[in-house]
Amino acid sequence: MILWFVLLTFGGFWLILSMIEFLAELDELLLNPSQGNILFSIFFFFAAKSAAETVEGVLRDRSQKHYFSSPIDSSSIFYSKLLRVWFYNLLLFGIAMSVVLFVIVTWNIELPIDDHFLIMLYLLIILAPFVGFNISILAHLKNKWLKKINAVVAAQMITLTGIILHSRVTFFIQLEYTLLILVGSLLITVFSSRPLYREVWINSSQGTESSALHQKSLRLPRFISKSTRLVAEVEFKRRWRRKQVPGSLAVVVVMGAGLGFIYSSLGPRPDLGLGLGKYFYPSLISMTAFLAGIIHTLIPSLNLFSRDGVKLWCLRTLPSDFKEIATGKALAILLTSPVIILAIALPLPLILDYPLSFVLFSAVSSSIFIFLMSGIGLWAAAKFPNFNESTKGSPDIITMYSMIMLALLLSVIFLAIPFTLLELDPILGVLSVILAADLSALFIIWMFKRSSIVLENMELNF
Amino acid sequence: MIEIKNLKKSYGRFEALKGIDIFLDEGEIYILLGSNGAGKTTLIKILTGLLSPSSGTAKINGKSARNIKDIRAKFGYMPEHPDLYERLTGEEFLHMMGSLKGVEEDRLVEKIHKLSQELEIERDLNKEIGSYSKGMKQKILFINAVINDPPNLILDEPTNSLDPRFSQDIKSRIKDLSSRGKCILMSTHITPVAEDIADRVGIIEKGRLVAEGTVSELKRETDSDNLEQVFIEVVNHA
Repeated sequence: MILWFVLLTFGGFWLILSMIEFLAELDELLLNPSQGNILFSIFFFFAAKSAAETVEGVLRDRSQKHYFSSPIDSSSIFYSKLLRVWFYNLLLFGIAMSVVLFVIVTWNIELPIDDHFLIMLYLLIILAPFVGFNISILAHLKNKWLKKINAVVAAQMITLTGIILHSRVTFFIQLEYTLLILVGSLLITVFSSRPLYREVWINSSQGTESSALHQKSLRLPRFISKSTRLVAEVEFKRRWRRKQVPGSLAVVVVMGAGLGFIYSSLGPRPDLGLGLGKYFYPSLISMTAFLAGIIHTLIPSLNLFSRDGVKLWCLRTLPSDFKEIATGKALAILLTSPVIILAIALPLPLILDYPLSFVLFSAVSSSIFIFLMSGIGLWAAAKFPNFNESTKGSPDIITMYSMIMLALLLSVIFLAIPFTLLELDPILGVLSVILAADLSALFIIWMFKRSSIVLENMELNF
Repeated sequence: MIEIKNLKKSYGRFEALKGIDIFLDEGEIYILLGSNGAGKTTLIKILTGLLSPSSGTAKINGKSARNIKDIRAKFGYMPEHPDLYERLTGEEFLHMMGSLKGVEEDRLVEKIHKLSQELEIERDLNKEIGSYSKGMKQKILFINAVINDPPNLILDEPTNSLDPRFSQDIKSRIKDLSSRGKCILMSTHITPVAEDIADRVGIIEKGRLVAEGTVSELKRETDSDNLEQVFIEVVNHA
């Protein structure tokens, strides 16, 4: 098996070098925004989604012990899981395409895409799950060297795809190379991931055996109560080890980078014919910060209690004040939320040289999003818990959608007056947004209390 | 001291508990026996505040289980299933639980070390709980239940998943705790365990306490040789 990986690595390096040489000779590498960029972004998103789906939905699925202890061939189990990830990706793609199609037909929009774009898109959607699936499977190997080699191979697959999509070679050459990568990914899946699948599942579903005692420990200030500190530290550790914290941080940083990319592509005052003018970037920053708040704060808060599920007895039988426990749980999420301000709310206003009042407004209004979403999430987590084990505590879609709408409504209520005042008088605008932030902080404290009451009276009949 | 009076619990039309009366004094070991689904775990969950009763009272040291805040420091609880935070190490879990139960840092570290050494899981304490066997998780649960030295212990099937050696060890620890004045309410399916350590036994069937007494009293009343026969006799006639 090691020989196979070594061959793949060197073969991959050789392939990349050959392609770069070939493309450099043609002087046709294109780094500007293009259809290639769009295609690569979609491919990358679907590959990342498949990787996450493989870890959460496949590798940590303990119920597979029933399959492995039955006469079912382990290859069949492997292929059924691969097909599951593949199918979910196609399903999501189908839904997304339906929405796009609906928008195009309803508003009669003409998109500058051709048949070649669509063919490549379909091909990449087929390819992405294999790449994501392989990355997750092989990254869970115990052998560190194999893991590193796998990372190199996976990076090469993604890099190759990027190079192909960003080059101006003819469509048929792009097609040929993409098909080549698809075959390569399939080969890795069949010859590497499949035989290792059982071992990898055991590694990842049975917990880590290495000492993890002093890893990623928080040291919170002493003015926070002891119970809150302890719960926050433990919750943070658990979220970190489940890779939720790094994953969520990475998404926010990528969103911030996306804003930078849009700025570098469209310039300081884009005229997209939308009549937004000077409001284009402020609106974009607000929308991105709101979206980041949903991903980083609201959704993780929504399953704070239900994710514990049958383990909730631990907290419920403690002599601590439930308000302190609920606060500690929320604090574990709030601690990393300033990344939204640092990665999204501040960089672009500073680059665009906006007035200090707007820079402050942008930062404080993002903190309002964070407080509101955390408060709403915590309350809904206690009020509408989903203890269905198969969903790992994730809220049902109606609850999630309702809470997002509620967060949007409250954000508008909290920010409407400060924003209007900012237009009239910048200083008054900043002062009013700070007042709104204070109110949102009061809101979250109120929510700590409400959720603790609900948690305290929750019937744990499982 | 545990006092349960006319305790009822219903789920819609289904009555899980139909009026249970139990009294446990200090230093007493009371074993609950019952068929699957008889209501043992429901009773224990009401006592620990995880469920609220439909009617009746459950008191721990004179404080109602309905007011959870009043009773939580008064008991140690060991649930039936070893559902623990799998992403924490055994030491992290015990440290968190002990600290939140108000055990002082130095004493806590010492106690975790001592108990884990005695139960032979010390070298695994730095591993994540997800990698533990069921028996190891049971031991973590037992340590958690006794770590703050509570006056009452509520143990739901504590010897499940333990090998005979550690099952014996846990039994002798329970006896020792009782001799030090702890009030112990324990449920089990394993009648020899109950026979070994029980001061009194209560048999629950279909939500009712159908028999109660010392092991010898129950044997005499049913004309049985052992507790297993007592159980079968009582349940068959319930």
